[in-house]
Amino acid sequence: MGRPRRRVANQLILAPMTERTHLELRPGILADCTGAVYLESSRALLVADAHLGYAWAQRRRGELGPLTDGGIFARIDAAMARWKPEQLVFLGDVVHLGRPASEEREAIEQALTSAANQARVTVVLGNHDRQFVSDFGHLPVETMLQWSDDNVLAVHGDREWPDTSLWLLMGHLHPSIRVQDAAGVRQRLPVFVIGSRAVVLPAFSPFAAGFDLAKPLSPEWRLLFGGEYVELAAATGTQVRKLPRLVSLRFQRTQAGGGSRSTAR
Amino acid sequence: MATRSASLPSLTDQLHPALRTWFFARFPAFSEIQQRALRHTLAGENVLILAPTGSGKTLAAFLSVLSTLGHEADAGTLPNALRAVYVSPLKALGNDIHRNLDTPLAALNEALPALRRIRMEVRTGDTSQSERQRQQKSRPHLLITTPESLASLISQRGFAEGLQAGVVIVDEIHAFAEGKRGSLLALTLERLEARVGRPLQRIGLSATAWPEQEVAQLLCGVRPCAIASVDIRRSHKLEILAPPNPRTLPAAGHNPYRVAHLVADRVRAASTSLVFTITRSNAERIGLALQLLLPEYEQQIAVHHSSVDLAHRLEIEQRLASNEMKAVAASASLELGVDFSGVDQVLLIGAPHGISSALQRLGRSGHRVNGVAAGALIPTSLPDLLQCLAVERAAREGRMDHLRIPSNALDVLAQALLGMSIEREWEIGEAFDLVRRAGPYLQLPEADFQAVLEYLAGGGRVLGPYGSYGKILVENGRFRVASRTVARSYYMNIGTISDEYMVRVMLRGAKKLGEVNEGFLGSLQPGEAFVIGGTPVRVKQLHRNVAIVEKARGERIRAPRWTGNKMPLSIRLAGEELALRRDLRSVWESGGAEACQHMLAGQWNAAPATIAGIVHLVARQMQAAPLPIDDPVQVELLPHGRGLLYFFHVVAGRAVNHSLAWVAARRLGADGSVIANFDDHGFYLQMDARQRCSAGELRAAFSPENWMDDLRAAIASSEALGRDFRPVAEVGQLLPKQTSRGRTSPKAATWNGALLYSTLLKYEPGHPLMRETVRTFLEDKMMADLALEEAARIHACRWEVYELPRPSPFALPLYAAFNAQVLLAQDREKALDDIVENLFNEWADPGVELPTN
Repeated sequence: MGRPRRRVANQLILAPMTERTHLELRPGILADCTGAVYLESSRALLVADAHLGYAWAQRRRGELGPLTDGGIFARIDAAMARWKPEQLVFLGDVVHLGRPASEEREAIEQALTSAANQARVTVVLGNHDRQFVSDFGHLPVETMLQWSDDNVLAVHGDREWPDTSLWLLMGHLHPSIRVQDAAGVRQRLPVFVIGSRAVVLPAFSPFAAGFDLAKPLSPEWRLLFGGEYVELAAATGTQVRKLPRLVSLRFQRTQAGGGSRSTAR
Repeated sequence: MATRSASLPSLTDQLHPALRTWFFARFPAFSEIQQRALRHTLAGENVLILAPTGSGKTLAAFLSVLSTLGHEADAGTLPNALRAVYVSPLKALGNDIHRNLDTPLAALNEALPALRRIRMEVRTGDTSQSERQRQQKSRPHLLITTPESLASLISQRGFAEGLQAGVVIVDEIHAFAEGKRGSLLALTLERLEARVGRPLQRIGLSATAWPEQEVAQLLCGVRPCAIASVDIRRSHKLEILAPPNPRTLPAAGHNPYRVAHLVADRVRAASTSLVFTITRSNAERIGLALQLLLPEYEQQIAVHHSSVDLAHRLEIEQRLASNEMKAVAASASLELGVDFSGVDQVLLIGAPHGISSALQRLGRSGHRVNGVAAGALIPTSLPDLLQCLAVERAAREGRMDHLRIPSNALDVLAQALLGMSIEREWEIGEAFDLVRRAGPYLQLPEADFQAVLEYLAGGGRVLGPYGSYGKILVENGRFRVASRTVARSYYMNIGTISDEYMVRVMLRGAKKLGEVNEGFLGSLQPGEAFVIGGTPVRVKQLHRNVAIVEKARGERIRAPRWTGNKMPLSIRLAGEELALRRDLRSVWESGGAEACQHMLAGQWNAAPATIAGIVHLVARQMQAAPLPIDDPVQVELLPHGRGLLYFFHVVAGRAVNHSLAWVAARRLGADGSVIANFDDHGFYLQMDARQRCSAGELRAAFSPENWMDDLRAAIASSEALGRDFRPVAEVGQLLPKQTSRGRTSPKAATWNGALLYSTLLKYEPGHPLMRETVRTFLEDKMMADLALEEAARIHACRWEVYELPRPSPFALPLYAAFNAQVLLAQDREKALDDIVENLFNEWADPGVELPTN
């Protein structure tokens, strides 16, 4: 059962990759190699699930991992430099945990302020951002529950979204795939999941290893993509590439025998 | 039975009169091991007592402890404080302790005035909160506990005041030795001694532990430690029970169904049997088979392994102790503890991977003839016969496995230092001296110690010297815990055992059966049945962490596979098997089948059925290539699809072969184009036909030059270490398993572990827990030091390369295991059997005359 999936992965690693920093999802809608999406018409750069302050937040929970930003600020800067957007939209979960400690607050404030100096910054509030307005409301940042332009509706995805004829952009789900080559090297790659009505952005945070699409998926996936074959595009930070085959997602089974199984065609 | 020697009256006299009366009312005299041990234990000396289960060694330790306490009580000097600690690897100590301790303690207390009676308590992770509070008030003199609970107790102020322990008994010390629990225990003993402020008498108990000096060092550090032992050779008797027609055994595989009838016959004939298997999966298989073959005993046949629900396991042990069972199929979970008096037969299914664990398993039988524990090895394949014969001879001649005791484990050190910082404030130098007194840390470099302290203080090279939220505060050369929150978290996360991610299996009505891997459940066809704890079930509902099942019947039933590291063939056993192979090869080459039969019957003391099976296998092998031994190194070159396969016969255990294969595959194909696979008896390298190597290139893949660097590079490029990091991070308190907000789900923990690993790899590869992860992997898991020696040997040795159309019989087990991974047939076991049989039978039967039984 696991075998066909692994073969996909091998091809991915072994196939020569051409340098691609972005990929056109639809006319004027570009997937960036960092995992962001750039909208040409409104000149907006969308970044989902940045989870700023993750390392500090984990320490506050009692983990003693290294205190590092994981290079996320550099990646935001890189994407900003590439697209020079008028607007930077954080598509939910901009921070990892509310009520930051002082160093954590300092780092996040600095990042948001520096972004605000280059573009208009909008934060779509996600489930990790319940405290955001009280923690960072003093910064020159606009907050809202959903964002849209003429072509797309962008939501975080933790709460119900309205019916729309626009293309839906969403974060929250942290999609990724697990790849393994013949020598046993395994890693997770964040991916864009591209359907006919919606696209799910990978988590921008380097600390969000991501939810493996090969595992049974939660019900919101069925709402987004039920019944259709989706395309996946992996974002490595330096390249973004469509994966070579269409995938039918495997949804969570609540009853034994029910639900569908993954197929690799 | 031992006779009283000249020195004995003095030993007897030293015992408290009440104990003396109690003892000699039950036993005619001290047993051999008691004689040898008591002179040390009664004199207050450190001693390692090595004797088989059932020889009275535990009593040898307890007699002296109780006697000392009794004398103190008589003299009115027994303080209201903890005086003696008994440490066991098992949480469920109930049965064992009652038997060894309750009655002599009761006899002693009867003779003591009511107010001076000796109090005993049991304290483990399962002890309830109210019970703990009662214990704190009652202040036992004698505490029965586990290393984890002891570590936790020492840090607690309430308990620490009443600590005046003079003696500690460590039971089943071999069970701690090879893991990090041993390191935790050694550090905890040093902390205990420092807390009490005077030397602690240390008594270690084990049935099989070798080398004795290294185990003594684990127990005592550099302090003197006497060794009291009896000859293990006279305490065990193993026979090999091959099927009447051994030619029906397959050439590969471990499927216990093939010997199920044989096992059932033996189970029927005995009153109670313990049936040990190599894996949990096979325990389920043989348990199910026995239930089917012996329907009259269905209710008295059970399965016991570490993934069966704990309550259910305890119930089985209880029923075993009270002689209500006919048979229990078990994996390693029943290996430790006292003997069950009602068990009159121990069967080991499949060749054991170590000599010590085989003897340990035999010891669970209560059936003793002149103190000899007897049992049978039942091979499940032809190659198993060789391995069984090797085990049998090693046991007969008293050669034990070499325990590999880890040293300088930095994750355990971090945990212990945190515990110390909670206990009180320490001077850094004082703490370092304490750590260096513990056996596994005698050589600890000061830089490592400092690095761990720095890590605990929240430092790290990433962002400044001391970051936020450190667990300890270091000031003016002293350190102490940073906050009460940290202390609380520490208490919740003591220990060195890490959980796998499991789905609980529950019957409707909320009866827990056990745990299986999520992946296994995912692989089930809808409605397909599987067996857990001997109960066939079918999934009704699957929730996130729980599978609700109902009992199933009548259809094909699968046994779950649990991921877990298979114990590698022990180095000692590999050597024994090689000796057998060398004997067979040289005798075969000079005298053929007949000479082999003579040799096996003579030198190797083998039974006719065993001989028949081995000669059958060797005869087939000789059709293909010589019987592979270590010198010359035997290599088979095989076609494999459009590629080819180099098969190396190296009998060195799977850990060593894993290392060898990994380095060779990397050297021959750095791009991952060479695929390697391995087992205990060899490994192969599979590659494209274009990559066919010259002899020189192939040999260079084993050059000892830069070998260790290449192994390090190979593992660095693998996610394997990411997975191994999680348990290290948990032990080292970097990733708490539990927080005040509840238990971290193992899935989240795995996720965090892999993530932290990659972050640290990038920003701080020299982090002490990163280095510990590498050390654990290289030394404990891959046996890299031994593998390097083996690489050098292979590199220098003469090679014989045989180009064969298909794998030789001795290559079949590994070759077949590889094919098992690609088989998609409905019944994998059956399909695999067919493949093996076809491949084996293609080597013409040379028509050797075989002895009949």
